[in-house]
Amino acid sequence: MSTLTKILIVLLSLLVIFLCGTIVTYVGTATNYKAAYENVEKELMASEKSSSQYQQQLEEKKIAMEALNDKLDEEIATISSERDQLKNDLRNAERAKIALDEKVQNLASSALKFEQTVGGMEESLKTTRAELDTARAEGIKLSKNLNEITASLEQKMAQLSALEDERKRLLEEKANMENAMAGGNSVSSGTSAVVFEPVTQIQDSAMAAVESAEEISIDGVITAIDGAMATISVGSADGVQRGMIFHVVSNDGFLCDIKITDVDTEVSAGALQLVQRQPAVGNTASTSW
Amino acid sequence: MSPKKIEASSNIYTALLALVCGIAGATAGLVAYKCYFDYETLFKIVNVFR
Repeated sequence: MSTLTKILIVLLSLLVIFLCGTIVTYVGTATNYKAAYENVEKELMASEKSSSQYQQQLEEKKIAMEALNDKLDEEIATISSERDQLKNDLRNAERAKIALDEKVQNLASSALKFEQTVGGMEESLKTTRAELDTARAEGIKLSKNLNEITASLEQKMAQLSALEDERKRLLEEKANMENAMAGGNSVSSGTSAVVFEPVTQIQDSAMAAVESAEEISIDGVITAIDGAMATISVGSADGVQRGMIFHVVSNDGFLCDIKITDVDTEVSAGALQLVQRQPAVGNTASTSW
Repeated sequence: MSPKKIEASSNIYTALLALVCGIAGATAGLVAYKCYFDYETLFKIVNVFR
């Protein structure tokens, strides 16, 4: 074996050892791309699967969102229509409120005017009632005066009639006496004197035609009883005066007396006195028995 | 002239050469093993993008 061969063998051995070492090192540290590819492929499949699921969920969510949007649109439309309706109702209510406020103001002003009118009418009524009371009192006084004057006139007429009769009787007596005196001169004194009776008779003296106003009987009816007070249906227009005593009687007899304490035009009120039995509404009350 | 007799050398260099051949064969076996068990083929180039 030549030297060159030996050298070549040694160099070849070194080269082979170097290359084999390098190859072993590379193979030992090389990455398994198939396994990596499979892992990546698995991850890709999982990702695609999850992506499809997410896509499906996204589609479902989109569909649900569209449905919800449609529903919300309908609700918005409904609420908008209701809002418009409520706005119209509000406007109508405001118009009605304004109209009612005007009516209320008109009614209030009318009520004030009516109240003022009623107040004026009440005052006028009071004045008229006072005047009526005064006129009735004056009428009663005038009636009393008229009755008194009528009674006095009738009395004077009766007296005048009596005086006329007396005058006639005296004239007749005078004529008879003159006749007697004329006959006495021609007739002898032996005849007896003739007594002449006047034709006109002496009448009784004149009497009052009617009773005085105080003696006129006033009759009324009990209209109300409140404890020891009673109201009767006659008043100042009928001649009732404060302090008058009315006797209350019924079919069974005397019940009580009523002393008048308050007098109005048409009614009077008084306190019960000498109560024998409790009077009732409708019992007769009179100033005379 | 008689033919020259050829004798195979048997010395340290032949032993070294045999060792180197063994190393090369073991390396080739290792590479084949890795290729077969990782990619299931010895010579085919794997097409990744199927």
